[in-house]
Amino acid sequence: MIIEIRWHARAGQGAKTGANILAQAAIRQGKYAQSFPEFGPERRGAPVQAFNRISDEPFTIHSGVTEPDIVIVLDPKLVGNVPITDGLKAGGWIFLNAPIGAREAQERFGWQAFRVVTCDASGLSKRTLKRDIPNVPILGALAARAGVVALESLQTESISRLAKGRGTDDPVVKANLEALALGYEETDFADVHTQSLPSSGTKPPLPAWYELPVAGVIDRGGTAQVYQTGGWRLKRPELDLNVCVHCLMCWLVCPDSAILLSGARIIGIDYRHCKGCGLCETQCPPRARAIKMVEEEALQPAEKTP
Amino acid sequence: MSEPAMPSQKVEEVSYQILALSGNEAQALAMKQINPHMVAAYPITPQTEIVMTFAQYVADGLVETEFVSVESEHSAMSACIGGAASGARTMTATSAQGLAYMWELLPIASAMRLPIVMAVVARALSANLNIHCDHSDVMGARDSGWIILFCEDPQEAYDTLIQAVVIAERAKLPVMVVTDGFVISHAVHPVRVLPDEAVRHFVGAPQPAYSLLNVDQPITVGPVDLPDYFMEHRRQLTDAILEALPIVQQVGQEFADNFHTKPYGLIETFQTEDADVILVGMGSFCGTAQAAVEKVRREGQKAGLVKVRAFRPFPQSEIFKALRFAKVIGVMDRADSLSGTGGPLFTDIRAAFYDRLVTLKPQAVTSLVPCPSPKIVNAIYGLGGRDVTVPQIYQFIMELFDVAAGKTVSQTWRYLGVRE
Ligand code: SF4
Ligand code: SF4
Repeated sequence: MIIEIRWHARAGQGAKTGANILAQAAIRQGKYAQSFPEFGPERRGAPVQAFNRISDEPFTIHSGVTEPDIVIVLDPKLVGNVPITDGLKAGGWIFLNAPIGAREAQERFGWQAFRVVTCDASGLSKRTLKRDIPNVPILGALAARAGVVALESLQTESISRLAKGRGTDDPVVKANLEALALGYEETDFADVHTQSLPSSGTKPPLPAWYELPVAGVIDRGGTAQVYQTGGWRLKRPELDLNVCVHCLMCWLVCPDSAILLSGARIIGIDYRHCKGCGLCETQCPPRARAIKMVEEEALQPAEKTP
Repeated sequence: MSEPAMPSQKVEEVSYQILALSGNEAQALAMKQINPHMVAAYPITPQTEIVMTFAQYVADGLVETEFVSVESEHSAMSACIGGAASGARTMTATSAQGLAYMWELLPIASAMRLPIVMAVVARALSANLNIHCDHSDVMGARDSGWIILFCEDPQEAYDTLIQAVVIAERAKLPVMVVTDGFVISHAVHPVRVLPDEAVRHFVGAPQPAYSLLNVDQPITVGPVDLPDYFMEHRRQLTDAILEALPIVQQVGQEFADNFHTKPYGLIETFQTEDADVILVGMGSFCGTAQAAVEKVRREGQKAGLVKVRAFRPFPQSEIFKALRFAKVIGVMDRADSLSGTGGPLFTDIRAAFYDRLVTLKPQAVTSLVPCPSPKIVNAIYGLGGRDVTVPQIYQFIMELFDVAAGKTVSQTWRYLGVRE
C-alpha cells in the first residue's frame, strides 16, 4: 500500500524540506518513498503544496497527490482559503500546526470525519530553534501518531543533514533533535466522529481554451488589484499615524502599492494587497519608526475580499 | 478582435511588368512594395541578398520602413517580436545557421500570435560547412508554430511573400516563405511584377488587435502561464494552425483573382487524376520533376506530381485526396530527419494515409481508400546543394513503376543521387 501525503503551507515555511526529510527518513528505513514540491509562484508567503508517497513496495507514480491519506497543514490560516480536505477520505489524517486542541480544531473547521492531530509546532520550534520552522516538530508529531516513519529514522536523517562539519554536539543539531522530540511528545489527537465528509464547496470551473483571450494577452491595466496578495502575509505592518512624519518612503518602496495616500499624506495600509514583505518598516526613518511588523495573530483567517 | 485586413477589390487595369529577377531580388522587391513598418535583420552571412537589397531601398528613401540592424539573428527575431507586438507590420529574412540561431524565438512569435513575415532561403545546416540548397534549416523550425510556405521559383516567391502578409495578419500567426538556396535565390527568371499601388492595396493597412504602444489601453503580452493555463493556450495555437489552412487557400485565391495569376492553394497537382505513380515534393524540385513526369507521360506511362506549397499547416486531406488512387507514391525530401526512418515530408504523408484509416467509417474506408492502399516510399535527395536532374528523377519514377508492378521494397527510404 502506498501512503500518500499532501503538505499545505506558505512558501518559506519549509514544506518542501519537510517532505524531503520525510522521504529520506523513509528510504533510510528501507522503504520506497518520494517527495516533490508543487512549483507555483515561488514567493515567500504564497500558498504552496508538497507531496510524499511512502510504500513498502516499489511504485511508479509521478503525479501530484490528489487523494491523500494524510494532510499536513503548516499554517492554520490557510484553512478555509485553500482546499485542505480535497480528496481526503473519511478517516484520513490531518496534522495541523496550531496551539489548540484537536477536538477544537475538528469542531472549528468541520473535520469530524477525519482523524485530527494538533501540535503547536511553531511554538515548539520557537522554543528550541528560536525560529518559526514548524516542519521539524510536525514530523515528530507525524511519527508519533500516524507511524509512517520511525522517530529514530527522522533523528538519524536530521543528524546526517545538519551534522556535516558541525558534529553531533553542535547546538543547532541538538536544537533540531529537541524540536523533533517535542513534536513527538506534545500532540493532541481527536478520532473520527462521523463518516460524512464536509462539503468541499464547488469551485467555479476555469475557462475552456476557446473562452480565453487569444495568446493569454491581458488586455487592460490595473489587473494586479484582482490578485489579493494579502493572503500571503505572515507578518503584518502596523502603522502608527501619531508618529508618522509623512515622508512617503514607505509608499515609495511598497511593491504592492498597499500604502494608502490621501493627497500627500499616509492614511493607512491596504491589507488586501499588503503581502507583509516588511520593506516599509525598513525604510521608515529611525526618528519616526511609525511602521512595525508584527506577527499575524494565530488562527486568524486571512483577509477576505470585502 | 479586429477584422482581418481585407485585400483590395478586383483591380481591373493593372499594368504588369516582366522583370528578370533572382529569387532574392524578387522578394526584396515584394518587400519594398509591401513597405512594412519595420524590418529587423542581421546584416552579415548567412543573411541573404534580400535584406541587402532591401537595406539599399531604405538608404535610398524608397520605403518608409524602420530598418533595425541587429547583432544576431536571435536579436533580429527578438526585435521583430517587439515590433509586431507594438502593432507594426514586421518582416525579416534569414537562412541556414541564421534560422537555427533564431530558433529560441520562433515559438515565442507564434505563441504570442504575432504576424511576422520572414523570407527563408533554405540552405544546409553545418557541419560540414556548406552553404548550398537543402531544407534542413526549415525542418529544424518545422514544429515552431509558424506557417511554412514553399515556393518553386522567383515568381512564386514574389507572389507568396505578398500573400504572406495578409495570411499572417488574418491567421494571427507568423509565416515563413521558403525558397531554395542558390537554385532559386540566385537564379534569374522572368517575374511578373505588380505595380506598387496594387501590392499596397492588396496587403491593406494592418489592423492589430492590440498594440504595446497604445498608452490608452495598457496590455500585457506573453505573461507567466503556469500549468493551470499553459495548455489551454497551446490548444488555441494548434487551433489557429488548423484555421490557417482555409486562410492560406483563400488568400491565394484572392491574389489569383485580383491579379490573374496561376491558382495558389495549399498544394498544386500535375497530372495526378489517373496516375499510377505520383511524386510529392516541395520547392524547386517540383519544376524539374514536372519535366521528368512529362517525359514519362509522353512515353505512355501514367506518372503525376504533387507540389506541397503549405507545409505547415499540413494540408493532410488535400494531399490524401490527390494521392489516394496511386499505386506507388514517391515522397521527395530535401532533408533527412535522421530518425532512421526517412525524411520529414515522408513521415507526414504516411501519416495522412494512416489517419484516414482511423477516422473514416468502415464503408468509407473501402470506397475512399483503395485496397491495397498505395505503397509510399521515400527518396532523400539534393542535400547540401547536390544537384537533382531530369534523368535522375525519370530513372526514379521508372523504379517506382517496377514497384507498382510488384517488385518488392526492402527499405521504404533511400538516398537518391548519393555515390554507392
Ligand atoms: S509590508 Fe509594507 S512594503 Fe510590504 S507590502 Fe505590506 S505595506 Fe507594502
Ligand atoms: S516611512 Fe514611516 S514616517 Fe514615512 S510616511 Fe511611511 S510610515 Fe510615515
